[in-house]
Amino acid sequence: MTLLECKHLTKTFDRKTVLDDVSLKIEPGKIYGLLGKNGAGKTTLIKLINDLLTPTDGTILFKKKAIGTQSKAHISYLPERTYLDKNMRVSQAIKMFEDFYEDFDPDRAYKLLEDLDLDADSKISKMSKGMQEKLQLILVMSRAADLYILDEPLGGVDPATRDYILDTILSNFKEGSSVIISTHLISDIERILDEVIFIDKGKIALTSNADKLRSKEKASIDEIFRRMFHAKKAN
Amino acid sequence: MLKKLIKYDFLWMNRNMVIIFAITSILSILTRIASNFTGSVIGDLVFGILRGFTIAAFANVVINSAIRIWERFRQSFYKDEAYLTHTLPVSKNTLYDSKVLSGLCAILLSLAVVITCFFIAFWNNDTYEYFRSVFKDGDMTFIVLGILVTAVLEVVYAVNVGMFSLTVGHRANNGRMVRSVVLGIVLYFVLQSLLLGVIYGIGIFDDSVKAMFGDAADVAISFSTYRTLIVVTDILYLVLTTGLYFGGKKLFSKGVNVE
Repeated sequence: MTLLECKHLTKTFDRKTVLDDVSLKIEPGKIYGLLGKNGAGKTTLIKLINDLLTPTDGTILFKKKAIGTQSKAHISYLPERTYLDKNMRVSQAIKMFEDFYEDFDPDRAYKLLEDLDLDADSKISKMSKGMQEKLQLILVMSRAADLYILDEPLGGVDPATRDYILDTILSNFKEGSSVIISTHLISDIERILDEVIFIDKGKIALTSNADKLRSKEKASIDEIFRRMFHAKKAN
Repeated sequence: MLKKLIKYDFLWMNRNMVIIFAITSILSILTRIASNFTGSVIGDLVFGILRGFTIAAFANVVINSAIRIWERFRQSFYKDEAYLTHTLPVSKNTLYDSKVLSGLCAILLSLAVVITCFFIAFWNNDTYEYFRSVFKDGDMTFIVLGILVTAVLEVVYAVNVGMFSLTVGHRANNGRMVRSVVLGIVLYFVLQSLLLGVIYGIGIFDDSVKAMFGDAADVAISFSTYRTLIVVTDILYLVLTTGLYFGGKKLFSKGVNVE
């Protein structure tokens, strides 16, 4: 059964269309790369799926039902922003996730805290932005969700930490669930992708199986992406 | 889920309020003590200063509480924390209810502190006699309770004006805060004028109410006039607050556009 389906999704702000008639399907058990340049519409699409924006037109279905309370109980979302109450301590944030998400595993969260060298007693306001992002990643990956949506999880992180973050994602998501990773740092994540979705100027430019695309074009996803959008720009 | 949301909202709204409550209580006690030493120049001066500070502290408690409620509403629904709030497995209606109910609890707590401190600082035989002289031949229990209930409803109404205005203002793509503030101020004064208009309308049929809008030389108000005013004002506040609550909730449930 299709996990998530967007049908003719459009979003306009005032008169500017930032997402234009987008339709796509997310199947279970796969890792999707939502790839596009900055401002291509990746975050808008993700915010629509997470009910942070209201579509101008179109529908979003999660397991064939309109998004809402039920979808939120099964989607684990990591936004670009740090969204935790800065006055909380790490342990309080963990308690809060435990309070609201039935699929949250506090033991896994504390284990990941140790692995990533974070102190449970630290006040979030005293932590650096990078540490706060790591904490959010831990909270999101400590859920046994059906779909993980990670918006630019590697943004603003040094290359060594990027690998560490990707390993954390790969070793912690629930078996059989799907992951959507939005990024413009394609070369860093292409090794883990099953499917790719290229988005440009608010439209889906290409959807394909990552291996098939590599074989067909005889190039890496990063090269294909560069070629595709460079060529478009030249035209 | 609603209980959990209220717990987190209430704790956020009342963070640091304990300090403000403590300062207000200390000022009230000091005012009470100083009231026993009036009659000399220094005694009167100290009492006057403390009285001024205490009244300012009462206003501070209520204003601070209201601002914290609105700020929680804005941060939680439209700023960075909204990325967590709107992805919790909770309906939009429940989210809105949690803010209204936790706000109500926070306001009631603040007003309870103010009322208690008022009685500590100022309530004595003179105050009692003053109320008796203003409200002729009335039931003092009804008079005091009437003032307290109306004060609570007035603040709850003002808080709901703010929440409704924030909801409407944040439906726009630009200038969201400016729109919210302007709408809030306009709405507050328009609805207050409406309330005044209704009371004036009652004056057409009730001479004692009508007299209030005339020459103010006689400040004494009959108990029946007072009772009419309190009942009408309370009903109007309840109607307006209910309207604002359902209107804001309906708009909010249609969806948000988080920055």
